[in-house]
Amino acid sequence: MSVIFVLILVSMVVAGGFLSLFIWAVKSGQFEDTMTPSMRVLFDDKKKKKQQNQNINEAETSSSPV
Amino acid sequence: MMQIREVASEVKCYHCDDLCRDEPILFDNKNFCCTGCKTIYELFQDDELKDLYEVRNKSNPHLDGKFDFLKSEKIANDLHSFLSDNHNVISLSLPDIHCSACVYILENLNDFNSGVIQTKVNFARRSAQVHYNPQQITLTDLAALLSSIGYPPAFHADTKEKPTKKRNHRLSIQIGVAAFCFGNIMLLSFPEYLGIKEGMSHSFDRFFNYLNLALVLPSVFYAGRGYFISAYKGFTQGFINIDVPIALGMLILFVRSSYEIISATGAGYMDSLAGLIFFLLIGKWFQSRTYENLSFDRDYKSYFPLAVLQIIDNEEVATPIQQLKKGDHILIRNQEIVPADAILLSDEANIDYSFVTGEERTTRVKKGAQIFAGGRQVGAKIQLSITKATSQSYLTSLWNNDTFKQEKTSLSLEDKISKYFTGIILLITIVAAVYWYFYNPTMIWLVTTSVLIVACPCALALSAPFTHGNTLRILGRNKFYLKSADVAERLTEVNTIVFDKTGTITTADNGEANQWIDNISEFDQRILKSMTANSTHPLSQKIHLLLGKVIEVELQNFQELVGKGIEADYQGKRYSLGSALWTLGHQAEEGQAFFTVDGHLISSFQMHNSYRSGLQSMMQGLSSQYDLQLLSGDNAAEEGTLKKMIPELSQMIFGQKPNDKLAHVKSIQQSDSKVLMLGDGLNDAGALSQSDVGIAVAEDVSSFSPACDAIIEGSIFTKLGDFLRYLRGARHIIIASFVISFLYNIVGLSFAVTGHLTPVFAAVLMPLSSITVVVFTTLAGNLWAEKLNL
Repeated sequence: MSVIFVLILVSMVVAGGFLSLFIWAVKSGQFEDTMTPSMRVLFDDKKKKKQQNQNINEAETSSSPV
Repeated sequence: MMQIREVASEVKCYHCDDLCRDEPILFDNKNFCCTGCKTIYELFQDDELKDLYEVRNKSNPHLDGKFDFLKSEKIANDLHSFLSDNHNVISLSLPDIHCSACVYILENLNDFNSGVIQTKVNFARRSAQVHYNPQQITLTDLAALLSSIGYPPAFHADTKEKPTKKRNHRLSIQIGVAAFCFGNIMLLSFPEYLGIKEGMSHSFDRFFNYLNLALVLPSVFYAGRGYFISAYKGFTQGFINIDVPIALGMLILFVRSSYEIISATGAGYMDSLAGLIFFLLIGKWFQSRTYENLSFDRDYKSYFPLAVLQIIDNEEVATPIQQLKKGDHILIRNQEIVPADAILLSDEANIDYSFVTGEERTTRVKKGAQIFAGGRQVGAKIQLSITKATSQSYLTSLWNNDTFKQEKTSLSLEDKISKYFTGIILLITIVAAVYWYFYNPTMIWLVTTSVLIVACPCALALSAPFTHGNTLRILGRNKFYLKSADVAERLTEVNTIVFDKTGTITTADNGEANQWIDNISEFDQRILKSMTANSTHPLSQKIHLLLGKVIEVELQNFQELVGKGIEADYQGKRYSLGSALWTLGHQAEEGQAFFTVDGHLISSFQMHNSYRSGLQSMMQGLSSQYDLQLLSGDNAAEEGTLKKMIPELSQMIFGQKPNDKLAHVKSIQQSDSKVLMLGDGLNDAGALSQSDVGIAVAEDVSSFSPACDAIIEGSIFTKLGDFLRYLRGARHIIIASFVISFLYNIVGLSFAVTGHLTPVFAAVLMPLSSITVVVFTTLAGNLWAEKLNL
């Protein structure tokens, strides 16, 4: 039964870890702006596609024989 | 009958589907609400971003020199939050952000100019943090670039005072800590609740209890310390606020529980204590909801420019307005604001004082005349000589009034009750102690601490925050934004309501030119349109707008005569537009303009205020409970109309300057009245600040509004009566929830004085009473709102 001592202490450490994560999240300003990220998430795809295209183009131009 | 083009009222943007606020932008036969949406539409048609920018930038000649003041190193340095050789960071206020397309455009600013490293938009605050490389793009060019794509950055005199307002994180962290402690203590207390003692060794018991003790320490001394501090402050000022009994209860809970644990006589009430702190903090958080995109504390600095052009040795230098001294020479361009009282050095200026007086009328002044700070030059650029520093100027000296330094405070309902509450609890404790002294002295410690624990007014302390928090939400949903819960309480105490006229009970566009003599030919319309195009008089501009797409003609001998009107020749005939006396030679009602050809009347125009619809019924509803008054900066032209329309007004005072308004509110207050003031402009700022509650009326809540306690959107202004009724009802809800929490207290106290309070019982009763109160206030508040259709 004395394993309970260890288990409880371990669970406390885990819970404490989450608490410190929360504090870090608050301090680093993740809750400052809850509105813009919801809009931003929709834009990412296009950007990536463009970059891919660019990479492909670059790859094509560099590999094309002179 | 003249055909007037219908000004588009409900046009939806092709891209973002929002209603267009201003005149829609027509592009490719589609309507767009802003340049951002139009640009993004173009982007979708054509991916050549750089070409697009080239084209767009050329089409913006009007930006010339507008951002030159940013070249001044001193000014620019103050604005940045980070500076280095090739990486600068600046936060810019971009008031034109209003939809997701705007976020897209701005965050891809790098596509327009590679000097921009990164942009991060904060939508709610209408601002963006821009990282850029000063080697590739200067701040001036950056501002011009933003302007050219439709987001001119706003630089005001108060911009650098609050670079990035960091939100207070303490409450969030305190709640996190309190929740962590509360949850873990609850888990560790389970064996105690369920009575699982058998089969567990004594060492488990002690281990759990000591762990509880360790966990409660951060809860009490970090999360709950605000209550001790507030109670101590109240106590030293000889005033017993609601935090005194709370702090007392918390302290007794902590001392007694620690004693029980250390002396191994019991498990203590750590769970109740941690729960209490957690619930109290949640209440605080619920009440402290803030509106990020609104600002309740703006003064003239948010309206004045950051810098003006000063003339030093025939050179134009950008100078921050705070540094202007008497005798300095400055240059004011078209549409710029005069930042300090000054003497006109140029021959003539045309100043619009609408922000100072609330009256929409431009004044023409001659060389040597005094011009007051806050006026806006309309027309060619002028030179001025400063006579007073900005902060000492006529308009701005209003803010030196003491009323702006005092904080409006009122004793909250629970603070009023807490004095008696604390007294009664102490009395019960003493009586119980005396009784047990004679009956069984060993019980004194147990009973007295039990009484203080159970009497802890946690439910009492929760009812007001939750009711107010709910009220703030419901009113916010209805576009009526209160600065704090305190305002909700003060609003229930007012008995006099003072209205400003222009922009408050009238709509902001301030009337329309009503044309009442028909048969104005297309030919005459064209002349009229051309004449009004050259005039800066508000009425001329309205008529010009009404005429819409009529094609202009070329006029000869155009002249504008101050106080009379405008005249011009066309095809040998003399056309005039102006006052009756000047055009026709006889008197007529004020606010009318007459259009004549060679002395013969063609048409006349009436400028009239358009009052908000539903105003009369609102006033009728309010008049039974409140004394209604009107304070206007305008002349008394509308007095007759108003008297007929709103007979409920007990007083109507016209021609009021900002300081007069303040003084009037003060004089009402001296007769023990509580004043609610409603106004919309800087000219009302003094009165709004002096009144017990000042509400700013705004057509668009994110645009400028003077310092106030609450902001109401113009479109729902006439629901004011319902809002006040709702707030009075909310007060009754608080009182009812006080009664509920007292009932719980009586039950708990009866257990406590007889010495039967067990930790489990306390752990059930205390959260139960809190939850009952929270559920009751929320439900009652929502039902009441539904009943009033809010």
